[in-house]
Amino acid sequence: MSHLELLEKLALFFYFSILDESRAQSATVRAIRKIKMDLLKKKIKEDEFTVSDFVRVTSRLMESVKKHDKPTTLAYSSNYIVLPEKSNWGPWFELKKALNEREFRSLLYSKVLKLTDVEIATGLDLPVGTVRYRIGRALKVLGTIHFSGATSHERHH
Amino acid sequence: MNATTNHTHQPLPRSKRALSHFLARELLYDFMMGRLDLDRTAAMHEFLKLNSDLQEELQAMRSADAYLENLAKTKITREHLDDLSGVRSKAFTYMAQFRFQNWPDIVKWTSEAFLISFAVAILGLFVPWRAIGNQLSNKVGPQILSVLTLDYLRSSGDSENYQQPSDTNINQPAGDGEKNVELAANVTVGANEIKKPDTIKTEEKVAPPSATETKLAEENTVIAMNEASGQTSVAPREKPAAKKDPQLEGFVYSMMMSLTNTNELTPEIREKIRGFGGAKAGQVELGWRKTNPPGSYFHFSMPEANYEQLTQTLGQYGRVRIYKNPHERLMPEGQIRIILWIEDNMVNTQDEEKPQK
Repeated sequence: MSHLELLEKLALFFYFSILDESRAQSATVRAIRKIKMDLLKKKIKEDEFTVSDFVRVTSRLMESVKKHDKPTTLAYSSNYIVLPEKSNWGPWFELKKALNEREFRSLLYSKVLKLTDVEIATGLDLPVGTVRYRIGRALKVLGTIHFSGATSHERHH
Repeated sequence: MNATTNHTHQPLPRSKRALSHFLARELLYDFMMGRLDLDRTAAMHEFLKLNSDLQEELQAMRSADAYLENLAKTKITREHLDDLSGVRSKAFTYMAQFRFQNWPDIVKWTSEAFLISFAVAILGLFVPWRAIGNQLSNKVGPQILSVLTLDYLRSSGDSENYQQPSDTNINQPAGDGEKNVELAANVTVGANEIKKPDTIKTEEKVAPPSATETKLAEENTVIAMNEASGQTSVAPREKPAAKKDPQLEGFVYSMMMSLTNTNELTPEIREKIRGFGGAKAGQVELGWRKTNPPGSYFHFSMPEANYEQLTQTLGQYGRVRIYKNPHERLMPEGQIRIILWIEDNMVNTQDEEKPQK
């Protein structure tokens, strides 16, 4: 995992997880420091830091973050994040409230950060089937939110 | 055989795999991702045709997947990534905070002042300023102690045994050659030998030489005169080349002895000194008893002509160490000034220092 790739995935993970810019930034910085300390202790080069390591570190950090985790307003400044065209954060915001943390995180790793199921399973120390089950379930919930939102939007028009 | 072989290669016919509603729902995600085998996929297709609710659910999942596909295009700006690249570990951050450059100004100045004062204190305590001062004063105005030259005769007064030290200018006196005399001269000139005139003057007036001064003198300028049982012939001469301070034109002889019965011998020695023309020169009487360190102190002047007789007489009591030190006081012609210190020898272990009387 290259240095820039790691930084970007860390930042995206915390942005999509916490849904608050300032808190996401501080969590990202904390994660980078922790990873650097771990690398220093284990005398591992940054290139040897794997995707599974990334999953392990971020999921553990989120365990401590989630205690204070309250979805707030979706405010992102253009200096930090570039949103895709026609992006709609509403369903994601609703998904965060509807899902439990494990399913939400699995979906984030898989569909947003584009990690493979095996990498996620290794990082979380779970069977691949469990990971897929969580992703499927999360996807169904999101589909329900998104599809119903879209249909209601269509009905309005 | 052929029938048997064909039978093994052809799959066994099995009944069509029917799916329950629960199972079809659970397989929906894998079906959407294309992870099911052909039979399961076909079964799912069959099942979906008959179940509109699962069709809606599949459509919603595909819609969600497309939504996430678009959301995954979110990027972090290069500026922010550069900011994140500058993040250091906590250890590095703490180390950076502890760097001197990052200290607050008041802490910097305080620590610098403390370090400087500490260094000055260390210098003041451990640098031998006195020795350095002595060295410097020697360089500025060298005051060389006059070198005492003695003749050293050995034993029987045989002139063949006479040895002249190479670094001294010795005039051999006329020895009587009757008794065994052993003299040794060892002349050393050093910084510690130098005494300033005012110091010497004070010592003369106040008290006899202290033990410390005696020790210093022993270390630096030593003229040892061992007298086994005979006479001593000593003729002090000045080294011509020796430089003297203009203020230190005179000399004072310091004689030191160590006897076991000093107290008893003091009156006798006093009388003998007087017999040689000796007269009290200091402020205390001849043979003044001192308690710490215990001994007898004689400060007197006498005719120079009787110097040899005096040394011979004293040599009969024990070993005499003689120092000739420069002094500002210039004695009249033919007169010399002597300070004799006889220390009480508490430990009588040396045979050579046994009193003869």
